[in-house]
Amino acid sequence: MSTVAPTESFVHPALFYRGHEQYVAGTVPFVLDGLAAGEPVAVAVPGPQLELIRAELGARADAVHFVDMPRAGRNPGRIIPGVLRAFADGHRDKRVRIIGEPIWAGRTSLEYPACVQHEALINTAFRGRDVTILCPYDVDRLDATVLTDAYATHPVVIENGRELTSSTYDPDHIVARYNEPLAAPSAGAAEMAFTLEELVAARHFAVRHAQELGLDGGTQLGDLALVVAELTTNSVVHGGGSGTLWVWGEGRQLVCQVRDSGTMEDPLAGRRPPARGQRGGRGLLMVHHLGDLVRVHTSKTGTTIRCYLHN
Amino acid sequence: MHGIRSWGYFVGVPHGADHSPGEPKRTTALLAVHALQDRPGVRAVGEISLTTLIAWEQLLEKIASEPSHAFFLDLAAVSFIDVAGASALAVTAQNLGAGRRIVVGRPPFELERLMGLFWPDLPTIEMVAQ
Repeated sequence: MSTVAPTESFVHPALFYRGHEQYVAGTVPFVLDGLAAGEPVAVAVPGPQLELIRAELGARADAVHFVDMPRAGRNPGRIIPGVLRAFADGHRDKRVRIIGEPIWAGRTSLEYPACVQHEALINTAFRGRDVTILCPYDVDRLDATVLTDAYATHPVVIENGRELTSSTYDPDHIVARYNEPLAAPSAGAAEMAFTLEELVAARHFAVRHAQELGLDGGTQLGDLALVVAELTTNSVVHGGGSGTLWVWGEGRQLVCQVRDSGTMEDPLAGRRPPARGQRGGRGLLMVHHLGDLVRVHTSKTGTTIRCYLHN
Repeated sequence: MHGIRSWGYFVGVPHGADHSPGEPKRTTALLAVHALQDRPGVRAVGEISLTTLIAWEQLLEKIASEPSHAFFLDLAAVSFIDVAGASALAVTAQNLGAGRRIVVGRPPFELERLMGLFWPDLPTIEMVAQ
């Protein structure tokens, strides 16, 4: 039997687990309770954990929607629109249950700020919704800081079968705390200033430098053109009318970055799926969908958005 | 009949005439539209991005008011379309009258990518290679 009882509309507990046994004990009853109550259930976790849950459910797994989180949620910025709301919005007539594990041991220090901000923003994104999202945390393999942060991003933490109200719950603080200045672009990064008149040139500049870095066409170059067009256009329209673009390679990834003098006031920008018939509102959402990782730093003096594209 | 004469226009202002000597020549996006002679439709030439978006939306409004069941939109000569341009097309297609559709000829990479991402099952847009 699950220890999670929905006493509010949106319920967002963290599950601290050690080993397979605790993982199964903490997740499978949560799934079964949902199925018994007639609630749609989704499980979005890394592959090995997904197989554990699937095996334990047996034939009952057929009623569950499984998502490979490292693929669908590689960029944590697209988990809310692409995984969580994609499922919840498809079942608006009833309470929905989701297991979402966005932070696993392989997440890098570069990814982590975006991951923990995502966990914090779930609370805002789902406020008032009839949704329960259970977030497992591997206590043995994650840093102590990650676990401390989980208390700030989840109002309730379940550990050893006990449900504890978090006294340090403060998701807004986490969003602000991890709004960190980004490291400077690589030494060899190509740089270009732009205004409205250079939007086309900026896009061509980015593609040309990506080609020099070894990209030879296809999806990556096309995705880069879309991302650069969106970020530079955003600077011209909303970010003070001008900005600076950088492009460089980092390992196997292509990186583009745009800085302008605007301030991003809405931390959920790019994470709300617009209505199908809505004209605007897909720009940053698209960047999140195309990028492997999107890091943002915003302040009163300007905003920097950096997008990592798979090479 | 599909108002052949009324379709031909050219938008976007080429920059460069006012640039100082030594300053890099500026270019901005252009979009030209030509009526097709053999069927209800137009051929767009240029790119669809911020500076041509209004013209693109005006074109889409005209397409929406066309009486033909299948309107052909040849994008073979469109070098780029951004997410705002793709959204405008998708929303226009969603609001077409019953039985109507837009047939997009040789869409640029970005349009196929964005349709797959945001409108994977929109029956009123048909994308064709020719």
